[in-house]
Amino acid sequence: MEIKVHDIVQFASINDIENSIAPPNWVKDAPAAKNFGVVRRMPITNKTVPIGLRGQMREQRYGAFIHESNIVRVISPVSLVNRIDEFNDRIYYSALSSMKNEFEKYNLVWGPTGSVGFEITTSIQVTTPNSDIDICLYLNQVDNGVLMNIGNFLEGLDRRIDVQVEIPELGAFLLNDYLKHSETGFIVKTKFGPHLCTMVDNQIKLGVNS
Amino acid sequence: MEKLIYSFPASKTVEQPAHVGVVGSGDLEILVEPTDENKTVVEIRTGITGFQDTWKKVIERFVSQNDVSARIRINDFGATPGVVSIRLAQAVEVSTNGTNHN
Repeated sequence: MEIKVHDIVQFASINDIENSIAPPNWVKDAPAAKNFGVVRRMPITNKTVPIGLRGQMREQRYGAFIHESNIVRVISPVSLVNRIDEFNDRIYYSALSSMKNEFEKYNLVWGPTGSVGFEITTSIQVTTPNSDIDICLYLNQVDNGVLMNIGNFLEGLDRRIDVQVEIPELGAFLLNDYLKHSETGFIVKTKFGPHLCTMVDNQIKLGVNS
Repeated sequence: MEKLIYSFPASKTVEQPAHVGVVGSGDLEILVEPTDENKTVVEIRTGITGFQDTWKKVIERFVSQNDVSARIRINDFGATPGVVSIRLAQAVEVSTNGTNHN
């Protein structure tokens, strides 16, 4: 079973999760936390997957773990793209639909994450009219031309889209940060924490020359 | 929206203003304005409430390592403490060494 950061895992009962710190009170009452968690960016060791549970409020987030044997289903953001049309009455629909049409042309691998991805996965309403639209874009390597084109396309949408670019074996960065600061310092989030990086000769380099 | 303000004594002035970071989930924007008030004043605006203790620790750690007389404004979009610390260090670097890019 391949489990990646941003994937949503389903479990039978909240009792199946493992805690490192005692869960806050809201956890037991939150519909969104009852059967689903979102995989966090941390190493998976001893088949124990780091997940985050969400409550109704934005500050209600709880980091826990679940053993792979207690995971009933893994839903990747990429698999949600085919279900976007089922949510055509939502405020985020037109933005997602535009991206689907555009990204298809270039065979880009992507999917909604954050509250929108969670809502599409679980049908539990967790978005508000003010919710950000977060997406994840999976590239095999940093391709400056592709990233600039995507940035230009997204500028033309009526909603701000937060794009995390995921690169295998490396981690992820925010598209906006990369586009503005690739030469002066952008943050790459890895399994072992965030690092300030720069692009030198089309390669990601740790640190910033000053 | 929550606003937090911290103030600490400082003695060193910095060269120039700085603007680092981005508006976006899991990140933050930091603006540094040099002052001659011998204080580091940090103002945080965040949509994610209830993390005063964590902010206090991150800011105290930053101030213990950096002596800057400046007003530092932070617009937070759910950054982790690790990202906050990197951005603060980057902001001071830009403010003192002038590698500003904005």
